[in-house]
Amino acid sequence: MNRKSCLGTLTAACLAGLALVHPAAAAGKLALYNWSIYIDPQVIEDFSKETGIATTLDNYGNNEEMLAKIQAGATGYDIVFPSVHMQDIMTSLDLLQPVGLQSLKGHENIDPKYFRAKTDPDHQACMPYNWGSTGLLVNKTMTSGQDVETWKVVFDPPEALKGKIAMLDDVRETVGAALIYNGFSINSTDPKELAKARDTIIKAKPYWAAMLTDGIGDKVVNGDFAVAQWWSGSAAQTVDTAKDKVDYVLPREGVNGFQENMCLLKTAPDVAEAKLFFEYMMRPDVSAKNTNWLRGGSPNKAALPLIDKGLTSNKALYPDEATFKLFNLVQDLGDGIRLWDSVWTKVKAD
Amino acid sequence: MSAAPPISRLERRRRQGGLALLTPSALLLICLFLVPLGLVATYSIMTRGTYGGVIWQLDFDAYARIFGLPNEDELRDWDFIYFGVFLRTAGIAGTTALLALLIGYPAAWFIARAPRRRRSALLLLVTLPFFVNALVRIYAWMLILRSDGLANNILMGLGLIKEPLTLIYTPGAIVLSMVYQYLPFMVLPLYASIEKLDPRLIEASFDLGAARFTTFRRVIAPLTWPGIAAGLVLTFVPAFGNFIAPTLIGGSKQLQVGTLLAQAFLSARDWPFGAAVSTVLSLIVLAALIFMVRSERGVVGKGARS
Repeated sequence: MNRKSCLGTLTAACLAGLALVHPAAAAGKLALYNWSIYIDPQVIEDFSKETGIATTLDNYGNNEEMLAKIQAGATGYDIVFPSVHMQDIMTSLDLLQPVGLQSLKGHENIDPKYFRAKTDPDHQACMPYNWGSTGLLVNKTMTSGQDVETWKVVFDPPEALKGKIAMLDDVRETVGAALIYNGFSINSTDPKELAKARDTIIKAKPYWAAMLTDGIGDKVVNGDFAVAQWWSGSAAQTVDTAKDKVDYVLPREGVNGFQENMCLLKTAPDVAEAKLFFEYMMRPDVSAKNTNWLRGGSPNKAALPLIDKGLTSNKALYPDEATFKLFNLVQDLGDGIRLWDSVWTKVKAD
Repeated sequence: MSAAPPISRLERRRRQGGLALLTPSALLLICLFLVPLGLVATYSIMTRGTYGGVIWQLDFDAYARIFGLPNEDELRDWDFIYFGVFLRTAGIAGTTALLALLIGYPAAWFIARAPRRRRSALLLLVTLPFFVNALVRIYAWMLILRSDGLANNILMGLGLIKEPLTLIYTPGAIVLSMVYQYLPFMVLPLYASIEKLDPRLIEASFDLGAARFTTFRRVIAPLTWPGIAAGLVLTFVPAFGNFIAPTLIGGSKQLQVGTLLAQAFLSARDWPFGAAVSTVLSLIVLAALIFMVRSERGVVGKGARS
């Protein structure tokens, strides 16, 4: 066998192998663009198996990164998972495709109490995916005897916790928490209020060990941090692994309640497949499976009974009516972001 | 009065050939350096779009902001915050370059003076870390420096400390990880310089009665200066724009140029400002490169005169 025919055989073998992996490649394809670790890989696999649609997944680190990439003309993706305020921005930039998703099968399962984007209140281009809150993950031993259900614990910390606090490295989260602590709206664009939030952070920053957006859970468990501002889903995952050591609490002044939606991109090459995916994700069993994996909040009424009791019985994760009032939805600030940015730069450069 | 000698055909061919050989690198430089830099500079003097991008109207506010000028609309008073960011970053990058020089010079000396057959093996050892992704190496440092990490556990095991030290999330940790990351860029040019050094010159210096330090200061250092300058620039430049180390090892508490850039383009959606910071950064890098080229020339010039 000469080298050329050997190569040819190899290529043929590889192609045959590919064909075996995707027996129904003809059924189409679907490209998801999601936050990292934000969908159960098994759910994607099951969807591909059931429909024969070859599904790919790429990840981004935050809303802004995703927007920058889509704005820069990244094509080929069908579905993105922006937060509600980012969805509003994407709508105003004409990046999403309203195709009347509310007529899809399973849409009736969505609990009307969850957040709606101002630009898409009736789910033309996006479907609710997962919601949660930004509260505090605390190390029980290190904070015993301290009042941790308040933002005071990070902005005006007791002596014992100084140098043991981690805050998110995120302008909307960190400045937002300082606004709430001062009794203002999480979406304030009032210069006076923002100046006050700025001073609060500058005063508190020497007591913070770090500002991060990843790997916080382990560090609260092993005692690097005693208190950390952290997202509910990741916090719940950490609590699962170390129930006796850590706890997730909601400060009583209020928290950032966030929600990510699944949105159909304007440039989506596979609209029909995307619709199938939306319908699949609306199924109670699928939604519950994904939520159990995410340790998140499902907007799916019909899925609730199928979700782990450990999640749904935790008031910080599945809030009752009274607790749900603490949730403030982050809105897009338009040009107001410039003010926030000057505040943020000031506190970061300090 | 004789006319200039006519250029021979061979000579003309040689000159044209030289130009032809330059073309690919010149094209590369224009397409991949000058054009993008020009674009960045253009974006930096446009008006900011609400959702990223720019509106094509001249606006020099980005530079006004960097230079600390007040602006009523932006609620800005006189504020030299960005000078501080650039200076702090330069301090951290400069410390990194100097430490790398202190560690790298003896190492390069040792390699260059090793028996010839061992040199390539030693050089391979220097470049070995490049076989591992930079991000993985940063994470390794995080594991070493954290509260219950390797360093603290060893110190506590030896009974030298009672409480874990705060090693990670400090400027020192940023410098440490960057020195480690860029050390090969220091060692390689130094090695090239030291290897070319004629040992007879050192002997001559000793014969003329110079002490060891004087020999180093007056003979060895000037002759290996191109290597020193190249090493300093090659470590300072990437350290100046580094984004990963301040974010992961530094805990992001203090703004540096790298993190400032990411923030301008992403969370602030302020492309002109990001482009302006980029332009200033490129000018600093360019100045460093000019310094490097000049120091090489200076030495070559001296050599030609002696």
